[in-house]
Amino acid sequence: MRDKKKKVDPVQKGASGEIGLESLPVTTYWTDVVRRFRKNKIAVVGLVMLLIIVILCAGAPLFTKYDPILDMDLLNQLKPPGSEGHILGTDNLGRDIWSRLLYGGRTSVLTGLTVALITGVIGVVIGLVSGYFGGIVETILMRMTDIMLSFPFLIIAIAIMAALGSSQRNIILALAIVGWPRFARLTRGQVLAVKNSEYVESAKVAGFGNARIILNHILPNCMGPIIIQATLAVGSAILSAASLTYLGLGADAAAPDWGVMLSQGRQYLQSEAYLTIIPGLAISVTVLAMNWIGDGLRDAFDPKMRK
Amino acid sequence: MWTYIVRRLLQAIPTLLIISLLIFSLLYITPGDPVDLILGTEDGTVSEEQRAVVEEQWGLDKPFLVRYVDFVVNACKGDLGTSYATNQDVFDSVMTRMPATLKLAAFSMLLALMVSVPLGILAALKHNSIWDSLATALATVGVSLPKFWFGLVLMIFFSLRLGWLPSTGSAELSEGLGTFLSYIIMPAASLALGMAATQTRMIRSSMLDVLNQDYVRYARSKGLRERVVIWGHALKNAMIPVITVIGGEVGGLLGGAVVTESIFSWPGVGRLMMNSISKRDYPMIQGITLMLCISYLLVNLFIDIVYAWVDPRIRLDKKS
Repeated sequence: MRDKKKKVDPVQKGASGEIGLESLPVTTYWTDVVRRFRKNKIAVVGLVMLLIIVILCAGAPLFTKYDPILDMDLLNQLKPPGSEGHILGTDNLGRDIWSRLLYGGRTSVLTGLTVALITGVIGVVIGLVSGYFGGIVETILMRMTDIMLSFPFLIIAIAIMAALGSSQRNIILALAIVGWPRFARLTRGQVLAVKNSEYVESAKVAGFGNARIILNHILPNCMGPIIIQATLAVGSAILSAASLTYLGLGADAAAPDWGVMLSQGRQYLQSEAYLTIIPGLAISVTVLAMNWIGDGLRDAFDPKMRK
Repeated sequence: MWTYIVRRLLQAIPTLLIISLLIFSLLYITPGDPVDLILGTEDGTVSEEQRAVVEEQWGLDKPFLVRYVDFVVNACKGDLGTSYATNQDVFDSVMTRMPATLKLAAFSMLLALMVSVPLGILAALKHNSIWDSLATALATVGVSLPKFWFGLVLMIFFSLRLGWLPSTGSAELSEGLGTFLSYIIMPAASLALGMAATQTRMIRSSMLDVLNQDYVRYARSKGLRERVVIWGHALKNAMIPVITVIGGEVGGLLGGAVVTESIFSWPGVGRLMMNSISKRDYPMIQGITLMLCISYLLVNLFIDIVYAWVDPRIRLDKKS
């Protein structure tokens, strides 16, 4: 990533003849995207924020000495933030909030990523297949997509959770079931836009198989909007998962999880509001970082769209 | 117009059939013995005779497909079954709660528009200024906060700390506007947050498009006052794409209502749903989900009609 700075004015250097052809950096679509992304201050701030969050959560044991579940300091229950030994205070069982926050971030961020990945893969495959092959396949797949899109997704997710039972795995499953249609619709639109382009035609003429054309020629040209959608999907999955967990449909009460922490804080709204405010802030900051990155990517992929 | 409405309603039928099948089968495969749920008994304590009686009475002895067809046929007659937990009619229970939910949803929508329209216009008019950046930043923050958490924070400050607003419950308009508002404002604000944010961004970009168009330039060069140009000419057209966004947001509104109603003890369908889930009252969960989906479809139909009414270029009669 660091060496991209050199690429700012390749033409000038090339024209002056100081640099040979072999050292001329290649400016591809993707290096352009990266360059535009890096120029977007807010997007970079978002990326840095996300990196910090990921490092803190992934390396949780390095940043806290307390176990998020087992270390119950029963002499120090409900200590406010700033208490000795507990920077963000303790909860009703005397567990360190900072450490629950770090370990809880693992669940939340992983849930968001997993949901985005599953919905992305399913949706993109459905979108690619229906857009490329058309005909009856497209009609059936898109009809399904439209039906799924024509329902309030959180309601359906709640109904699915009611049937499957409460667990983190089922939250991922429920959000995956309701989440793929957006990707399918988006991808199909992209495929339709590039399907009749000359490079696809020439790949067909060259006798390439459908799979190769789809994966090597069509998919790379649809990736921009898909990546943007995936970024935003991570954030919205984190929010939906938190809602479902808050309603008591998610991870069990002992697990460190931002949604669980919020629902446990409910009983202590009056006197220990920090139990509610802290995990909510963590969710907000994470989702905000994802959304800033998503906005930055949108501008980076399509500079014309920028207003 | 009428042919369009009829066609849309007909189109909704397969959609509803599929979603009802999905919900029905999900709840069918759910572990747990319905007989125990109905009688409130522990697992394995019901005698064979008792079980047979209950199963026959509730139609639980019939095969899956027969039960599903029965459910659909009865649903068409407005009979969504009987609650396992309370023995009450599901349709009646939902319908008595529905007005509260719709009232909350409508009020949140109003609140969101009251914030997003001025903010979006301001951002577009002062394009690239500090106001623009501020509005855009606020909008991004708005979509990033968990709605229910925002509601909790409002409750902490305005009810528990300052004591200005009642933390839970609801009031009718007949009890006075002030009382009504004091109950509805916090749940509505927590629901409106995300919507206001999305709408602000939408109005801003749509307004920017419109402001660059010839007829706006013409209106300005004609010497019309800026206020007339904005409110009389530009806004009307800028709102058209916003209307479609609003349609999609109603879905989020109904979903969010389930969480918000639980927090603020709002006596709507959402809270009924959560109560039913905790009691594993499947006929009720099924009925509520179906009724919320129907409401969503109807609201979207209504919005599409409004859309065509506002923008005569859109022909409803043609296949879209």
